[in-house]
Amino acid sequence: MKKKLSTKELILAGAFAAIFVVGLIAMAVITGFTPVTFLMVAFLTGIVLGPIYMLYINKVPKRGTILILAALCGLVMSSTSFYPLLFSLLCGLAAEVTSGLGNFESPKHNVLGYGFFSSMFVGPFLSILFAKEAFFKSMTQYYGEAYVANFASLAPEGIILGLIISGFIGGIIGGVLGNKALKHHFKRAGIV
Amino acid sequence: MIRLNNISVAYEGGQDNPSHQNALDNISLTIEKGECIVLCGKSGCGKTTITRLLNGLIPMFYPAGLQGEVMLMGKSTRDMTIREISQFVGSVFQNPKSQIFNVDTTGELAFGCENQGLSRDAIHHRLKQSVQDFSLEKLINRDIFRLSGGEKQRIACGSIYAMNPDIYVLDEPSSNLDLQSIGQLHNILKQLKSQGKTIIISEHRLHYLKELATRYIFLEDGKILNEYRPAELEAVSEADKRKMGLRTQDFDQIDSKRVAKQPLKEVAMDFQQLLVRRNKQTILKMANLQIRKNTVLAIVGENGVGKSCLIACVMGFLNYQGDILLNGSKKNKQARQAESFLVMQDVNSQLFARTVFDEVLLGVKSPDLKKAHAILDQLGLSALSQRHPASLSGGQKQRLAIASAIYGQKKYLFFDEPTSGLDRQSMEAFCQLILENREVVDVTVIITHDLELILGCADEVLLLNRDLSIDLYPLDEAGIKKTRTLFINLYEKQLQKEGLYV
Amino acid sequence: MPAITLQSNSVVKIDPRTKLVLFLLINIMMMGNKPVIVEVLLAGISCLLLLNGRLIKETLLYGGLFFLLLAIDSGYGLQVSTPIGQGLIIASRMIRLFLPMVMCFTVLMKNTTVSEFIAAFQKAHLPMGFIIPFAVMVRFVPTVKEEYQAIVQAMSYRGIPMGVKAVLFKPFMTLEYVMVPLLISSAGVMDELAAAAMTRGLDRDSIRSNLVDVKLRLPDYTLMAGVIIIFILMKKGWLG
Repeated sequence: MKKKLSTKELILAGAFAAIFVVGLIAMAVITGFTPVTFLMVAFLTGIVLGPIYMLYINKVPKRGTILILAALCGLVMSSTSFYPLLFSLLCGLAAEVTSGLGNFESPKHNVLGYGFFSSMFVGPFLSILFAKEAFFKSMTQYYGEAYVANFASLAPEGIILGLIISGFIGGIIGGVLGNKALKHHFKRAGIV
Repeated sequence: MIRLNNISVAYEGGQDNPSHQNALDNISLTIEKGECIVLCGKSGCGKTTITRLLNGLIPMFYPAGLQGEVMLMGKSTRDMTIREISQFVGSVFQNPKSQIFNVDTTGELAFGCENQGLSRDAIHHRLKQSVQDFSLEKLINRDIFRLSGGEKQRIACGSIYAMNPDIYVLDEPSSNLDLQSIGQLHNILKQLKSQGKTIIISEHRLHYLKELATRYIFLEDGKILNEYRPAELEAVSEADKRKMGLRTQDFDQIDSKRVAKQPLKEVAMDFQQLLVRRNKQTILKMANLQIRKNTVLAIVGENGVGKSCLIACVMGFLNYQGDILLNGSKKNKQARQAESFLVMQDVNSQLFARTVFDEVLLGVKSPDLKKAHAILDQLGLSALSQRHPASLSGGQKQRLAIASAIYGQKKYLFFDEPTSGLDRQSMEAFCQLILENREVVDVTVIITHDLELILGCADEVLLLNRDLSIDLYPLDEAGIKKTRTLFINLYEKQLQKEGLYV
Repeated sequence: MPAITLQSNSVVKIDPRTKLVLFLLINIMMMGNKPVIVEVLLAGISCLLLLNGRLIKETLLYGGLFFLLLAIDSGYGLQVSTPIGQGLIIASRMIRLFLPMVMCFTVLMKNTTVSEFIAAFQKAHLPMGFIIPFAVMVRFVPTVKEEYQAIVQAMSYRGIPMGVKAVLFKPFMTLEYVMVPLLISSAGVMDELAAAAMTRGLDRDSIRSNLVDVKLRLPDYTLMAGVIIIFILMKKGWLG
């Protein structure tokens, strides 16, 4: 099998990215309704998008497959700054390396790789976080420091790390779900 | 020009359905320049496989074991990439929706030329030619997602025409088209033939190819059984055509099996002052219409005239003014959906379970296993009960959908173009199923362009016209004649237009 | 016969690269600390882009919403002291913050065709390994939405519960019921799409041309210059 992604595989990559991205935006919108659920965006998105990812990597088990998806997701999440894109590429790279260790065909490696991948779903949260910064500055103008400090306490510094880890765990669960879907459905339906 | 030498092709099947038999078994075929070859036969006979060999999709896109040589203009396809082959072979596929790469029509027309690397001026010139020769004036600069299936297919043809290939390969291009669009397709093929292009079409529907074909190649189980000159095929009796799995060539020849007229039953579906509007325009209007119990109703009309809307209204997916009474009462959306079942053209979007058996049981509380087994048996699906639903063939998926509907005790059964891609046997099997279950459900409604289907199992026809007038009539002697004439006229009208589109 | 014109339905043709640049710049500026007048100017530019794309409904919706929220904030911001009121104000500010971004995103999605994207990226010498997936993604998104709608419809008459209760109490089953048909059906469509594209010569290793002439012209430079000037003036504090 040639190492580079063929034209056909690039087209499949784009199609899967479309499904993935629609799911991603849907999850961001659904979880965005309340602050509590929005904190779970990475965790929940990781779970929900798992089957898509696992089908994708099983259809195109090659180097570069994951990175393209990571780049496209990163672009979608990067409306407000470049950090989400960079972080997505980083997560994508980690996923590539991990899956690569299993030659892109080992279910366990792929699940682990997806765990790293899905850490990038903190992206939408980062957006809001940056927005919050902007707010706080404008709110200080109106309400004064103390008030702002109150709000700031709702989002402690360490929360980002916690969210990333929650994304990772969501990814593991999603990956396992994806493998089950492969076993019970996709392989038997003949699409892989 | 084209030569297939001792070709054998073996596909790799899915996990649930490993097929080890050859899709094509040692066939040889020669096609001369300017010929119009029609590949015909039952589903799975190998005609699609041949088309894939001609455009290089096998073995480069669909991994399959290929033995033998495919020679195109003296060169073997093994030595060329799909792109190189595309320089002189243009391919048109079944499904208009999934062929389109762009979101706008002009971009789509230019797509092939762009891939060839032509200069902007050359592309402009080619596009002008395409638009002129295929009468696409009204379709340029538009949003592809808003076009009808027939319009999309014409854009696809225009896109390939702009690439100026010598050979055209079409795989069941009429499958998803209504009669008007099939007429337009005929015109396009006529144009191509007059320009000396070589055409290879794999098809079930033969009626629109009558004056175009130079040779018919009949395949069965991967082997070429017979070759026919046009006059020879027309001489084949309708009964023999049936055995071969071929659809009719002549609308007047269709045999209509009439079942004994039943006593008038109570009204099952009642439309009162129905009005559907979209964007300030009325798209559907039915003042007063009744459908009686145990009727099989065929809904016909041009694409876009509101047939699918009607079903959506009954099932509660579309808002409307007026009343729809089911068995005498106005039911809310949930109740209606609980009692209805729609079998869509693309059955894949409605298969949910892991096995065929589970699929039948789906959605019904307190499962009755014995009953489910009995129903599967009745529909000939018992052997498949542990298979994954998506691994079934098209006809089998349809039967599965019907099984689910019967098990769920649905009262109203709706079908949207159920036989578009089916061969004769499958179409007749479908008619059989509908007739067998006519008394089991309250009303069966079928949207279709397939005259053979209508004459094979429908009791009444509802014709929806573009001017919002409707016509409901029974399929008695007069009704049958009326329907035949209608269809023949619809089709012939297109042929007379000679490329002018209104 | 009407001239074969270029695709996106705009009054004035704007290069997709300009749209992307504006999208990014406007977002970054909206997220930072900025005086109200900058917000208004940026929202105004976004509305202009929407109008240019003949997206009148969207202009009225988003533009109207923006100025409405702005009016509410300027008038009552200081008066509200209840927690709920403050919460609403904050929510309204958040929405206002994102509106110009949503507007620019809409311009990108609805006012730019696949051919324009491909042409712009090719001109920027991006590799086909990126252009092809991106183009396919843009084209496939509406298809995904259609599929999803068909599946949800089917679920309702198949008796598969789809509401909030189903998601909360049986999340994995509900996920399976939605994802599996979506992926199986999409797998078929993407294969057909790929076959149709490749048999028309699409190839990652071959040079392809573009019908669309993607060139930065006066309107593009004007728009970009305008936004950059606003940025500079803002930083210099000249806009308050």
